[in-house]
Amino acid sequence: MGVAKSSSIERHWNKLLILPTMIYLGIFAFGSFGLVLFLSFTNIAFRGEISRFDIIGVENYAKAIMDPTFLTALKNTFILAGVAVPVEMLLGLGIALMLNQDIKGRRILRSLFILPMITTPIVVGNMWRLMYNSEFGLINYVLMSWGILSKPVPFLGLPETALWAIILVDIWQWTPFTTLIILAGLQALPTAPYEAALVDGASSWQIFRKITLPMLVPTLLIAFLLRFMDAIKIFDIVYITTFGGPGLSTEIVGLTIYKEAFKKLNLGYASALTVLVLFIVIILSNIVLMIINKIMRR
Amino acid sequence: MNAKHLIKIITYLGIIVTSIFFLTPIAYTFFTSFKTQVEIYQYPIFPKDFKLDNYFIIFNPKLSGRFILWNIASSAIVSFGSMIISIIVGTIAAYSISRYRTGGDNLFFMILTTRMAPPIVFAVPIFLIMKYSGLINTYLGLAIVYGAFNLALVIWMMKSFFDEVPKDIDDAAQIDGWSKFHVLFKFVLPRVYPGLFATAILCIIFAWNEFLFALLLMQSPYNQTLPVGIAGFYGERGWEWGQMAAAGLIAILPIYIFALIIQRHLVRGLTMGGVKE
Repeated sequence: MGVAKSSSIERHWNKLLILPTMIYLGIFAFGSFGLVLFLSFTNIAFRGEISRFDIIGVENYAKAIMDPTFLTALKNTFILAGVAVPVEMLLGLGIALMLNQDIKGRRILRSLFILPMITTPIVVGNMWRLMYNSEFGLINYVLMSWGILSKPVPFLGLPETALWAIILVDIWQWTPFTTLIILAGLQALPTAPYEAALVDGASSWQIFRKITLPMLVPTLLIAFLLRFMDAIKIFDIVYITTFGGPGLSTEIVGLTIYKEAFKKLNLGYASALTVLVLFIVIILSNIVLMIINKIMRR
Repeated sequence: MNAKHLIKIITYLGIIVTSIFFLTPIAYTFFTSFKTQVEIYQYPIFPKDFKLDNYFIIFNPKLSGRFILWNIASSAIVSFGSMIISIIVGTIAAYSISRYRTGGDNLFFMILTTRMAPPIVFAVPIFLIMKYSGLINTYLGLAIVYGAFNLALVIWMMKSFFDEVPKDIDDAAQIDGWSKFHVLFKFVLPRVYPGLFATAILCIIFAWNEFLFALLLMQSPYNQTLPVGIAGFYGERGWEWGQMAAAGLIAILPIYIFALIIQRHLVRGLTMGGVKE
């Protein structure tokens, strides 16, 4: 054994390597959490500098659970995730099944289909503001020239349509994600059951129903859960397209916290909202991890 | 054979419809970027000719009142800087977790949860931390924040690349008398360079695209990043759509090129390791 090997660096090598990460995330993730938890019990405000503040107990929380803006935001966020994600799953499954076949230019198509999900979200929002525009936008132009609409509709500007317009943007942006995961799942399936089915003369539909779909269930669940956790994070798209309007029709939790903290400057109240959102996310992600673990063990 | 033909036809039709759906907004933005404010209302789809006016305007602060070149520089500095931070910190941690299982499953999951949380929950505390550490309005401050957000991604990706390097390599080098430091940096790390490169590019893409913290922490038009710079294209004549489209294309072009370069590893990164190829 050489001298170097018995040095304390050698002995604690593995801990030493992970130490910077612990400090870094300790400050940012867990320090942030401690700070925001503390602030949520205060009436701290921010106008250039932080104000003098008092500890006011659970007042912020009592206000939050009765706050119509926050409750609407929660509702909208879950409507968005609840509608967009299943649609993304269905489309993703369909597109993955198509790409999984022996077709020309498969690699190029897959690269093209990735583009929406790597496009800068603010730019995605701007692209769809062009598309939806009621004075010149492509969607209104096409729908009117096909005779589906008689007069232009400002899709992002009406309370009835705005949330649905944003849901379509989310579907555009994130269907590539579900497609990629499901496609990889399809390509990892064993071939033996298919050969047996072909020998038995099963139809394509039977093969899909009885072999592909059951074997694909774990992949589908993982795609769904990952995507759902991501969908409730939506911020940039709504910020740039509607900023929560008209009225509260597209208000989502990210925007509510942003507006409370940095427009109305109520850091204390915004902190309480943050803790509530974090609480919901932690419960959800624990359920998610539990389900994924269960699937993986099977 | 009939059913097979039918499936083929449906597949090709589906591919065409999907391509149109995915590519239309991008193509429409591309076409719009060549139209003047008046032409946007005259030519619903294709521009009359491919005039570069919008591009010249946005790059000229005197004409546009914007600082796109500064924005590009800020984005590049912050993306590259944050990538360096998270790659250095994350890669050594990933090696430790891959080889020694340091901290066990619990620590690994804890690290991953930092990426599952919505970024907005960090907005208030990080704003205050940056404000009172004097790092607000600095490239370093924003780079540190992005570094923290990308750390989980780097650790996850690099762990999966390290896992693919046989442990025999470590053992053989150690038997030859190399220190643990040399085992990592001389023998194992060079074998994951392609993965390291892909991970680095992914970090750059995420930082380049980020909006919320750039908005909160960079408050001068000279140090704002590109997404913040293009968030408000509102001028005397209302929204300047053509310029907005041009700026958007400038922002996404480098991303598309990067994505093309790391195509092979892109899927693993974008799906957070959900998929290996």
